[in-house]
Amino acid sequence: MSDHNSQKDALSSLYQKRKKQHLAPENLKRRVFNHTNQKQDTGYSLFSNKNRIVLASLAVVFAIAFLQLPSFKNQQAQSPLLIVEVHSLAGEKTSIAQAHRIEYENLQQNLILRQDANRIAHQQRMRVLDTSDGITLVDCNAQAIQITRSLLDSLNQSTETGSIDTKLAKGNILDLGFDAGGHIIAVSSAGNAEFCPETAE
Amino acid sequence: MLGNIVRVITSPFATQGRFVDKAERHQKVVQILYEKHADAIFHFLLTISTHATAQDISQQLWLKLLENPDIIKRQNNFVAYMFTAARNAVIDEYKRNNRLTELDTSSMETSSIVHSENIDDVFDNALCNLPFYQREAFCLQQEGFSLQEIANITHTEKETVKTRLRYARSQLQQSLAGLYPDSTNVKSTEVKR
Repeated sequence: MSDHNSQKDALSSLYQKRKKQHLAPENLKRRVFNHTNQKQDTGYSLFSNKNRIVLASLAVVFAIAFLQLPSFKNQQAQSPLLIVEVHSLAGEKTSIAQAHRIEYENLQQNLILRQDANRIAHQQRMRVLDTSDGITLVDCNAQAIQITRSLLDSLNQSTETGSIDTKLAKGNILDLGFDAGGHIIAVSSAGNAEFCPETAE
Repeated sequence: MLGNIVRVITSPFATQGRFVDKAERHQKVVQILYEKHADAIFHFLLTISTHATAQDISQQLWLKLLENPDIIKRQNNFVAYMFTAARNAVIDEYKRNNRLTELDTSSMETSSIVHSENIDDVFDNALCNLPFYQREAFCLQQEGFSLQEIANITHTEKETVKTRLRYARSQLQQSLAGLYPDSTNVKSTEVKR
């Protein structure tokens, strides 16, 4: 048995010695790994299987897009949506112009109305009767009008009526302007003008 | 839109680093395996074929391994896989040359009986003169494969492997005994040399 084992060991020893004498050539290693490096440098990254699929897909997508571009342009040119858009733009422009015109007309109308409002419909000469609480005025027909302090202040603030002398004394004669609505829009001193000339006559 | 296109186009380049990293890692793994097993596989190929064939098949095997990282992942016994692949490649080479029938009896073409007193030369000649199947079985056993593994690699029965090994050893011992009548002295002689 020991002889058998020793024979096996002897054969193994000879085999291992032979193996060491016949190593893989050094150029084999160079060929294997240089070949792979070259493949990696040139093709692995860009033209690997995954990238090939991606590039091919992109090419197909671009090709389809390129082929459909003219028909898409034609569709776009004939699209009713575009016509609607043109109409809507034109209408919008018209409506804006119209709105401006209407607004302008309204402003003009308001101006006319305000001018009318400021226009003195009639004038009345009155005499100051009392100044204790605002101004109490009386006309020739013995009709009294009281201009309260607050009304007097507002009239003073109004540029159109002009300032009213707050140092009015009893017996002063004033000319009051009324608009069409009967509102006092102007107050001015009549000075030494004659009060109730007809009555005087 | 242009941004999307640019992103799509550049995405493979953006991940290129990842691919390269993976490839480099795989290459390092293969290099380690090469350092460890290339000599054994080459010697096995050299023993069962010619020098040129051994070089070609070795290169093909390692390149295939480099280009297919999944091979290493799939194999439970990588070394057995490599020896099986190497052996199959040699068989294919025989088939291509219509020499498959020669395998049963063939010894290596380059081998010849050399009358030498050098025990290494005698062993080398004896090994090369073994029939193909005995030679491959003996080599695989020397590479540390079990009987079952040798049976798997050579696609044969375990008992057949046993028989082949017995014949191979007997043949080798006989050759060596011719040089050294007391074959038990082979080892001691080897040590002395």
